[in-house]
Amino acid sequence: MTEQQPNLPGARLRTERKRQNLSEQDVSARLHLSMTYLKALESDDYERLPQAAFVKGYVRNYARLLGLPAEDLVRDFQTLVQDRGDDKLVSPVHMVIRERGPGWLWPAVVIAVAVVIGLGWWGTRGMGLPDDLPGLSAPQATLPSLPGSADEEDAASPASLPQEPVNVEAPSEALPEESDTGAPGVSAPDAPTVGAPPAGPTELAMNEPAPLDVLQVSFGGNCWVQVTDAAGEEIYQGQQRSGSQLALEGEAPFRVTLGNAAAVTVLQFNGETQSLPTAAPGRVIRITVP
Amino acid sequence: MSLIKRIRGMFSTDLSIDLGTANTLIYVRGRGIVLDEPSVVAIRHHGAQKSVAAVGADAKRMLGRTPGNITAIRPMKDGVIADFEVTEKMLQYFIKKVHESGFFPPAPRVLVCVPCKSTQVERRAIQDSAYGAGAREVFLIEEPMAAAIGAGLPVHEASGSMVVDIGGGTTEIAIISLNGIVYAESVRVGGDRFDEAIVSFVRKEYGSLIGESTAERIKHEIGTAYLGGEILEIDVRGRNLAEGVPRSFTLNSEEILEALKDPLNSIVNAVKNALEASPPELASDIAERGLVVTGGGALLRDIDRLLSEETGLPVIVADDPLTCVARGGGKALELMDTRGFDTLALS
Repeated sequence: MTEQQPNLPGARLRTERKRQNLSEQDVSARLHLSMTYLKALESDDYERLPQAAFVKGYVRNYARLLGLPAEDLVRDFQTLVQDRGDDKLVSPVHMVIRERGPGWLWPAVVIAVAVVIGLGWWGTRGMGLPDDLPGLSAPQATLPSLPGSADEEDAASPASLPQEPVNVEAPSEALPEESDTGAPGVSAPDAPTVGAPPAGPTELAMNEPAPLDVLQVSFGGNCWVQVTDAAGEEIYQGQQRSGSQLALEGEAPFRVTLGNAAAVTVLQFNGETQSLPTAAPGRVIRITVP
Repeated sequence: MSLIKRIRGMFSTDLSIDLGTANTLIYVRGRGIVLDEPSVVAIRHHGAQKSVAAVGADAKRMLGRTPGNITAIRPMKDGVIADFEVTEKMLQYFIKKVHESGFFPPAPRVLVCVPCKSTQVERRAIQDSAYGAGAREVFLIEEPMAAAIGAGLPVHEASGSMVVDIGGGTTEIAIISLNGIVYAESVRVGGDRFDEAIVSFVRKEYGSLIGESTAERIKHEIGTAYLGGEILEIDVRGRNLAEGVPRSFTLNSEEILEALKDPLNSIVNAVKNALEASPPELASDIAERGLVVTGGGALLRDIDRLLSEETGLPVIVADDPLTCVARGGGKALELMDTRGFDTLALS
């Protein structure tokens, strides 16, 4: 049976042994292998032989003795064994290139979770803060609108003129009197249609988000970014590659979390470049813009 | 501290390290052998300050060729740590190299293979240097056990398996049955001793001085452990001691065999002693199936033939003998996870 299948390593060894006129005893003595094992090996009866690790050695030694290509026979044997599912192939020595995906993903996920938890905690604790400081937020809102309105809002809104008063009113929800004076006077298209004076401020409050603040960030390296707007809602979260630009619209102030702050080349708020704290590569920073 | 390490550990993979005298190999679960570099560190001195100039293959190229301010060191000797700080630095470098994600410094679980006859102090030194290199947990396993697992021997069965691991610094011989070492012997003879023997042979016979790297090259190219195969030759250059100038001469396999006779004899004797000391049941198992040779020394031509003729047993060279220990350590880590930590590891 085995003679018909010359691919079987045992059969090849036996044929070669006979060709070289060697007896089984000769081979057994030279290899110090018992006759039982030798016979089993030549008839490819691997059930009667020990584990694959040993048999591979026997095949290799026997092939070397007969001058056959040992590694070929061992490979034949290995494929046989693999078919039987006995033994796993020995994995060759090779350098494995690290898969980049999971390595970046895990820290990113953990940081994202940490940031979300942190923001949630900060949000519940610091709810009252903006109400206490209307005066402080007012100049912040007006300051960027002056240079910003010139180029940013040309396309977005019908006229650049109404922007200023509306921006002034933005933080002044607590002071309806002031907004009364401002709204009917300048923002002509909206106020007259509403008509009723008490509805004015509420309507305006709804319309306020319309002139959105623009945040632009340019990257010189890979960086994970998360941006939340004034309401604490996440408006962007993701990975930015080197050379990419991120432009976001939303209600200021933005809370920006940068996974790798050193990769940020320019951070502009309504066209105005904001200074960033210097950071070492790979450092995370959290800033509020403006 | 430990909490931070645990968090960092989430981003690190389990490693099995074969911290050998000649080469350090690192096996990572599911990825295979990811690092195979010589255990050599080049140190640069700036006055009293020291810094690491190169590690691994880069540093090995510098061995014996360094200027005054750089010293290339092999921090392991005879299978154990000879220079604690440098070993720590080297491990740190290697561990970092296999964890390339820059987010956190890695804090992996590490299994390190130690010579079976190493003392408590030597084991402690290896353990501490692995901790110092950032490991979160360190396990130690005896080298022949790891080698046997790596070679695919049935270590868990109630039958004797004998493994001879010829490393760079030591040769470890062990008889293993039921996941335990029944008999172990460690002789401080290995690849390094072969190189030294070649160096001293050339000095004696040719009156020339050659470096260790040259001796290693001679061993790899024409070294043999048993006469009977073809005789190879190699041209080498060494500094003639009498004339003081470099001279070229030719060596052949027979001469190298002569040079290696003493260290080879120590290995053969240790193997014979192990067979003598083994319980009869296990000896009969070994006589039936044979013994397995692993480690870099197994690559010496006809070493299996020598052991086979000397012991009268079938001798098998394991597949990929250089990586057996590291691969076995990796398998041991997996076994420890599935069956508990005390199955194989020491501590």
